[in-house]
Amino acid sequence: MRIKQNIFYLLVGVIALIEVAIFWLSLQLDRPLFIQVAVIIGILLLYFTHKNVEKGFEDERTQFIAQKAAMSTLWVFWVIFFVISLGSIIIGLNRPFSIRPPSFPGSHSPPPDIEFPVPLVGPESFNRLGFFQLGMLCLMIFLYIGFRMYYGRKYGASDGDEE
Amino acid sequence: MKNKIKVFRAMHDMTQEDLAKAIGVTRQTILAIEKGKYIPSLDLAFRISRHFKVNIEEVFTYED
Repeated sequence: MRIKQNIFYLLVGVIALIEVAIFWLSLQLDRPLFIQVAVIIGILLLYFTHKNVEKGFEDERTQFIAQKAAMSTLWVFWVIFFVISLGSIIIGLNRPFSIRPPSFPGSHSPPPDIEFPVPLVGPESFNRLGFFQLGMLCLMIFLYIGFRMYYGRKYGASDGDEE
Repeated sequence: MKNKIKVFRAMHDMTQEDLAKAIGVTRQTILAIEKGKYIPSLDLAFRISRHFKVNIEEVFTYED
């Protein structure tokens, strides 16, 4: 059965609302697995429904623009993600590792007893990581839309030029 | 890549919309090809020239 594009968007909205409700439930019950499984099921549902959607007219130019936008998004996102990851690694490596300095044979003074602060990985770290990753995903979507518009203009023409 | 699509369209008294429908692309694609903003694939170039019943070289000219 073929469904119309608008019906599909409505379905996306309904699934998104259900996901928000499950997110809340997951938070209340402290069960992250609920929302994780729900998102995977939701995406699979949309994937199989999308196959039956009556698609708008697409030709080789629109496919070419989508391909160029996807590749550019991938490249820019890769560079941004790499730079941020490098920065995080530098911050992480700059902290003490809680390892005692070695005592060498023949040395008279034992290494001082220094207490190193042990970095704690608490729920707030996961929270920050989750928001950071969501932010990166949003950035990816904005990058893709931006590149679609850019390449659409580069390989396209304005609408009012009928001759 | 230069092309004479506009000339052939005029000869056949066709609008961009007519040609787009006939070869199965959008009007924007015909417009972009005519303006030289988009270089069509070999398949599309053949479809356009066959529609006008001429050789591909008569419609499209390669320039260095």
